[in-house]
Formats: sequence, structure tokens, C-alpha cells
Amino acid sequence: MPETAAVPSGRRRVSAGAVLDSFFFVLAGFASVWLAVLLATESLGLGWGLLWFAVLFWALLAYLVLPRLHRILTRLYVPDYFIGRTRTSDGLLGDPVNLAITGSAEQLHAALAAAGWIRADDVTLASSWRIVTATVSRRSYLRAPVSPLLLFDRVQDFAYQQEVANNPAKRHHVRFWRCPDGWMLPGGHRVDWVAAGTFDRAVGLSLFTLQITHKIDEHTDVERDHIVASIRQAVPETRLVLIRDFATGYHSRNGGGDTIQTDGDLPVIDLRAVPGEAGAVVELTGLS
Amino acid sequence: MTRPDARARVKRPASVIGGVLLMGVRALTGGFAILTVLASWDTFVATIVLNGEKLAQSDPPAAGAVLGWLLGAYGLYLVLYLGLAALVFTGRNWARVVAMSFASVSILLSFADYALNGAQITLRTSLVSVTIDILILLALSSTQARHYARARRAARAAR
Repeated sequence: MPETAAVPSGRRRVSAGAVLDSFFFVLAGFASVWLAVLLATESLGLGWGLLWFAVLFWALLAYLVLPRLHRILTRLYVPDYFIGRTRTSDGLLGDPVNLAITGSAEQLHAALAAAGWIRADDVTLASSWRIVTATVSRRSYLRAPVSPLLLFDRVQDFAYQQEVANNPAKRHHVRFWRCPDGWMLPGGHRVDWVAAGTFDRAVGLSLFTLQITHKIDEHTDVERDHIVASIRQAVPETRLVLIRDFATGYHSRNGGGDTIQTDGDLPVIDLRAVPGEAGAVVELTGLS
Repeated sequence: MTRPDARARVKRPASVIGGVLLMGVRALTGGFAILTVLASWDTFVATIVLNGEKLAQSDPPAAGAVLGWLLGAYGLYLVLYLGLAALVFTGRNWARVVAMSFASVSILLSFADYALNGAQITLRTSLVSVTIDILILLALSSTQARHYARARRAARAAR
């Protein structure tokens, strides 16, 4: 009898609602590709309207079609566990996780403020519009929002930045995620926060989605060391545990297609220090 | 005591707002079509064909009644559709699924017509309505829209 077939066999049960959602998600992806084809066909018949249509076509492609296709595909092949990389909202591998912190949220906020870092605004319609106008007119926007990157399946808890030369296109910035309770870094190191710091050097188009985005500097280690140095200078009692070769050094690309490279070291900033005592630097190296 | 806070924190994402707005546009274009028919009633009555003959010539009142019924049914559908949009806005998951199903059926029918019958989908024909349907499906099937509907459902269940 077919009744026995209805008994769930695997340990992971998938609800009918989730299957339906996935179906509509993928169908919408295909439909959007078809829409792009229709618009491209339509534009061939237009003379003077071609430019206007090209902009519309690009917007459709960059903000609807390509992100949806990336989502569908990255859900299948990009690992969802911690591999030392953040992910963009489209599921692509984003900026490298290159910093960890032990300490409370208050200690972290205080240390960053002392080191001259400014907290970024949350992404809203108003703040997004302001960063566009500020970038175009080259006006300073010290609290400019940063784009969302995901780790532990959620957007960063907060981000800090330092604008360079009063130009919103160039800035130091670092995103922070609170680690889940009981979570440990690969290798068994317990930390409270992990962070991804990179330097925005210009505004350009993403290689993968064609969206307008910040391009980051290739040398992410320079930015990592800048963040550590600025905090240690402002709060001298900060202890530093430098995990050498936490990851293998690598060359790769981030979610916008910018090349990145790192030596794979991971500094852990310990903010639970005794005031008045100079913080030690401890280097952890592997067996060799 | 944390429950009301948790519910208040579920922010309506832009994709839901956009999807509902597009559903509104879809209903508006339907309303506009009804107005067009009403404005040139006699012309449309004359086009009604039943059993191979023009109904307006043999039985003019019946032809008017058929058109009236058709328009009434379509109007009712549009009102229900607007109600559906309102429910999507408040985060009802079943309403979202029904709205996505409507859009999917419409898109698949258009695509079948395009692929099998070689129908031309241009600005002069149905490009705008196909575009709206695809955008509705894209918006409501997005992860944010799904999370929003799920979170609202969880919040309602917790009440």
C-alpha cells in the first residue's frame, strides 16, 4: 500500500510550504530571465528610446535577475558553515573574516570609539539616498551605511568606519558579528565576536551582479593590521593573541568580484584587560 | 513579556511593499479596462458571439446581460484581488502563496502562448502586464518576503 511511502524516511523533513516556496523562488528566477529576453527583443525595435531602455534593462538585470540566479545557485553550492568568509545577500562569498574579539559589546564600542572609529548608520531608504548623493557630490558622510554581509546566517550586528579624505567613496570599514553561544573558531578558540575589515577604495560595478557597489582594496591584511593597531594605540592595555596561519594564505575574489589576498593570520583582540597594565602580544603558531 | 517586542521588531521589507504596490497597479489596470468597456458599451455588446451567431442581433437585452455579468464577475475578482493584496501586506502567508500562484499561472499562460503560438509580447500587447506579473512573483518569492510572512505567522501563533 502507498501508505507506507508517506512515512518520512530521512532525518531532515522538508515541509510542503518550503517546497512550494522553493518552487516559486526558482520559477521567478526563470521568469525574470524571460523578462530580460523580452525587454531586449523589444528594445531592438526602438530607435531613440534605446538608451532609456538600456538603463531599464541594466537595472532589471543587476537588481532582479542576476541576484535571483546567484541565490538559486549559491544555495546549492556555497557552504553554509563557517569557512572564514562572509556571504553577500545574494549568497556569494564576500569579504574574508580577518579579526576576532573577546569582550563585551560595551568594551568593543568603547575601544572603537576611542580609536577614532565611527559607527555606520543602518541601511534605510534615507541613508542609502544620502550615500548616493554624498558620493556623487563628493560630500563627506561620516556615518555612511555599509552593505549587509552575512555570517551565521545573519547580517552584521554593527559596522564601524573611518572616512578617508572626506570622500565617501574611500573608507576603512569593519563589520562585526556576535558569535553564537558556545561557538568556537576552527581550532577550538573561543571568541565573542568575529569581524571582517576591508578598505573601500572606489565606487564601481560588481563583477557578478553588475550592481553599483564599493570596490575594496586587494590587500585585506593591511586593513586588518590597521584596525588592530588603531585599537591597541587607543587602548594600550588591549591584549593581542595572534593566531598565525589560522587559514592558509590565499588569493580570491569577494562578492563584488574584487581580488583579495591574505596571509591567513587571525588576530584576536582581547578587551577584557586590567586597566593600567600594558597588554601582551601572544603569538600562536602551529606544530612544525 | 518579550513577545510583543519580538512582534514589533518584524519590519515589513521593501519587497513586500513593492509586491503589494504592483498588485495594486494590476487591479488598477483591470479597473481601467472595465471603464473602457463601460465607455463604449454598444461596441463591446456587438462583439458577443454565442453558438456562432452575434447575440446582439438576435437578442439585444441578453447580449447586454452577458456582458454585464462578465464585467461584474471581473469586478468582483478585482475587489477580491485587492483584498488579497491587503492580506499580503499584513503578512498572511497563505495570501502570499495564492498571489504568487495567480502570478505564476498568468506568466505560464503567457509563456505558453509565446513559445507555442509565437505570440508577440511587446509594449503594444501584453508586455506591461507580463512584466508586472513577473515582478510580483519576484518580490513575493524573495527571502525577505518569506521570512516576513513566517515571522508574522509565528508572532500570531504566540499571541
